[in-house]
Amino acid sequence: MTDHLAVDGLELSFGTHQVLNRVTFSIAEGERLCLLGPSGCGKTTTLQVIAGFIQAQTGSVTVAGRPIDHLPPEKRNIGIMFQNYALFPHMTIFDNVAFGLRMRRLPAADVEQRVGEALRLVRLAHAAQKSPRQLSGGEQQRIAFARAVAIRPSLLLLDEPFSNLDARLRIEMRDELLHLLRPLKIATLMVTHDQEEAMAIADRVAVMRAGRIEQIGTPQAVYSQPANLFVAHFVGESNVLDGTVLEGSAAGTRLEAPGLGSLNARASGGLRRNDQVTVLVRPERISLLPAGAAGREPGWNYVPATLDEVVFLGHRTECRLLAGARRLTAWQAGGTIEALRLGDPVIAAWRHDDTLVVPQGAT
Amino acid sequence: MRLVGRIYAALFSLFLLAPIIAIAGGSLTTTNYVAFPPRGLTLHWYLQILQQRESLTALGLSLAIGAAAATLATLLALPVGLAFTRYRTRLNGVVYAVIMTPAMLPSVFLGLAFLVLYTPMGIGATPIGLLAGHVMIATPFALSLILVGLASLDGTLEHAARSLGASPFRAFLLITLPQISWSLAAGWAFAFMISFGSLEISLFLSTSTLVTLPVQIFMALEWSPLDPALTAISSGLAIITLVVLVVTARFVNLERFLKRA
Amino acid sequence: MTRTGSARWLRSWLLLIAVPLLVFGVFYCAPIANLLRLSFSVAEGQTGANADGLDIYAKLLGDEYFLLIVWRTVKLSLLTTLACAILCYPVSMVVAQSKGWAQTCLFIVLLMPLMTSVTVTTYGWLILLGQAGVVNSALMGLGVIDRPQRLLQNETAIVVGLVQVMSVFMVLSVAAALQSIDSNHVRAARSLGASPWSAFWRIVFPQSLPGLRTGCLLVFSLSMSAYATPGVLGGPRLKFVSFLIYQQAMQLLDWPRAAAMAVLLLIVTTGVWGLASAYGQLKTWRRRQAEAAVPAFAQAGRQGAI
Ligand SMILES: Nc1ncnc2c1ncn2[C@@H]1O[C@H](COP(=O)(O)OP(=O)(O)O)[C@@H](O)[C@H]1O
Ligand SMILES: [Mg+2]
Repeated sequence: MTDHLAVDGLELSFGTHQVLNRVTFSIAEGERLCLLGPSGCGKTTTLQVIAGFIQAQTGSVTVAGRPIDHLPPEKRNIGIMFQNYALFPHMTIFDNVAFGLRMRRLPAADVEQRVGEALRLVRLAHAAQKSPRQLSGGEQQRIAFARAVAIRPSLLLLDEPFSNLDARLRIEMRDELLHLLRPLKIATLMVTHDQEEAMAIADRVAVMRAGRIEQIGTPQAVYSQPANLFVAHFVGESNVLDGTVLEGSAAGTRLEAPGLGSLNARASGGLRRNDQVTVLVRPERISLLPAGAAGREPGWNYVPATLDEVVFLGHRTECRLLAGARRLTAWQAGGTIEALRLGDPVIAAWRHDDTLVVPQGAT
Repeated sequence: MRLVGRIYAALFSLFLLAPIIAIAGGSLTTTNYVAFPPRGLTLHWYLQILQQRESLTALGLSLAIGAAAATLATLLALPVGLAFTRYRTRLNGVVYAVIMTPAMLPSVFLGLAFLVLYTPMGIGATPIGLLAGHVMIATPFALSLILVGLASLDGTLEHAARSLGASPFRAFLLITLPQISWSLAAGWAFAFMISFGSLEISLFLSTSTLVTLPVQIFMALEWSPLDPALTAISSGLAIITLVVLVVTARFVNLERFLKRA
Repeated sequence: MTRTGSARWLRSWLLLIAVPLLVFGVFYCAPIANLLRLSFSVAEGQTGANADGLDIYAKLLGDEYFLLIVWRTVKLSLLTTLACAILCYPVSMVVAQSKGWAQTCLFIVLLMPLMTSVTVTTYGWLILLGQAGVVNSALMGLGVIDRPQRLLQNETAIVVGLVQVMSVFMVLSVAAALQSIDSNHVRAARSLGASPWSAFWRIVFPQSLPGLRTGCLLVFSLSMSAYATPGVLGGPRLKFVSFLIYQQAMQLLDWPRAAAMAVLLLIVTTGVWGLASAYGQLKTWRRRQAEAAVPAFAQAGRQGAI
């Protein structure tokens, strides 16, 4: 795979506030990358630099091997779907989608044909003569998409595409957008603060914090092997425990967690005896066994606990456990815990491989 | 409670309109002195001003100066408004202060200042000087309305146009301008009316041959306040104002005024 | 929108600003600077050791006649401001609550006196308040008076005329403040047991004070510089400062003295603005002091929420 978009070492400060801190990543041809981070971390700013609305103080942006830093936005051929869609309110849907083509001075017949194509793609050909105000939020978003892809951009930027939609429509449009994007095979950079959106749409996810990219990888990799505590917290939920390393080797790590006894964890390089570490376990990885259950399998951690609280959430049940003075959360699908009552002793079990270790200090 | 409020507002409106109603009513009287309520109804006095050369010249001058001043004020205010909304800098505050103060300073102070410097500049008693003075007092009104328009503008629209291949100028022309045209129109109309009704500035900058309508009426008030022809001219002035206001209100949502403060 | 730290934007900013600023510099700032200079110049024929630039000011400030007129101007302007504030506040509430065409009509009515030439409205008052005017006839018809009274050429007439011209500024300022108040505040107060009156008095009124202050400042400074209204309705006895300035400049052709008067008028007027904005700044400063005491994490939380 060749890099289609290469963003290299972007730095930008507003006064003393550093908004972008050596932002570096690349997108292969046809790949979808998602910048994921809390609000205010610099995602929109990154998009604006790539689009040419803001000049970074250092760093460069390359598209298809060609640096574009010196180009004004209108020469970059980058399609953008704005957070608020930015449909021109004084123009019809047709004129909105045709705008970019007319700027390129395409003959009227070609404009007509390509606008038609774009509108059919988003299944809104019948709305061509309507005004943006007459469309629903989801429809407006599809028009914004049609307008951005009608110019056949070399890169597509999507800024928080679903933030203006209500919860139900959000999921619907997420699938719709994925469905539209797949066959187009345009390199796409999407920005969001919602991890589910990011994972659903992207081939790779880049987690960003305070102007810095913390980790880039496939959704699976970022979820199951977070590089640090921040990523672990931001992508999904975790039980967080303190621990002291007893023994670290290529086969795995053995550690002592106060109140839980000794645990085995996935191998993690560079750890030595007595290092203080943070231990992470995803709640859906924890199984609950009745206290008397026999049979201990190799490769699992077993921790005795009591059932402190049960919260039914429909698609899952959240069980809060007390293991000594430590709290653990375990998610159970459906009725596996029907036989248990509050206060019952249980055993929490999870695999060694599901136990992640992050050195303390690496927050 | 609601009703009391409405009745009060209606009475207050009557108070605000009373002098204008008196003028309009008085101009219809058949007596040859002003009487309100009018005795009988006639348009005689309106026809008579058509024979008064000075009044017509003054009206023509007021309209011409008003239109020119409003146009210039709008042309000056638009780039300033754009600079303010596009670039956020402390310097904006300084420029804003310079352009808005003419609306706040005593107009007699301004009139005198203009007279004293325009005279050695060679435009003291000329239409150019009169126009320059009017532009200065009209621009603040144009600017404040244009700023209301620009503030309600969605900045990403211009970005969207740029990303689709429009040059900065075309993005402005095709996207921004249509969005703010209502505020340009309202700014122009207000600037026009400020210039059209201005008295003090014109008093200082006019000569015996260069007289705007408000100045002419003001002068005439000293000699013959009860001349019905004078009420006819005045009510003509009020009618023009009302028409411009109603037309503006027709195209512009006046409620946006409340967003300014 | 565009935000960069480079010098490139400064160039585009200057490009947009340059012409308007140049025009205002030549036709506005220069005349004002020149007038200030002129007011400090030495009156002609007055040379010698004790003639200095403040000569004219010293004479003016020792001139009882001038001071009397300044006092009248300030007094009547304050009265006008007070009357406007009291009379216009309820109207602002109606404006803020009204919608659609009713609001549009109200706006037109309010803007009419502002947009109509002040000579026209003043003339209207002359007709209404004259000896044979409709107000006198009405009062006689009601039996309040038995012969026409002189309603013109007194201070009341001036204040009435000024209130009519200035009220638009008060109404719009206050209505803008009222409209920006979240209506849920009132609902919350009512749900907590406040009567309509105390909900207004404790919730709405305090939040409208900035608008009221703006309105008062506008009305006061505009009244201070009024020319036609006091000139016509007050008659020759009750002059305002602006009339004096016009007389000095255009009839007595004493520009330096007129300039000094104009500068004094400006100082009194802008002095009030200055006091008000200093007061405003004091309040912001106090608030900042209070905010500094808020624990740092609360601040951080607030920023994170943006
Ligand atoms: N013009 C500006 N001046 C100063 N700070 C800014 C400016 N624009 C954005 N910022 C700051 O830059 C940071 C990143 O903003 P942004 O890229 O919009 O974040 P997000 O990740 O939510 O899209 C924020 O902390 C914001 O306060
Ligand atoms: Mg953002």
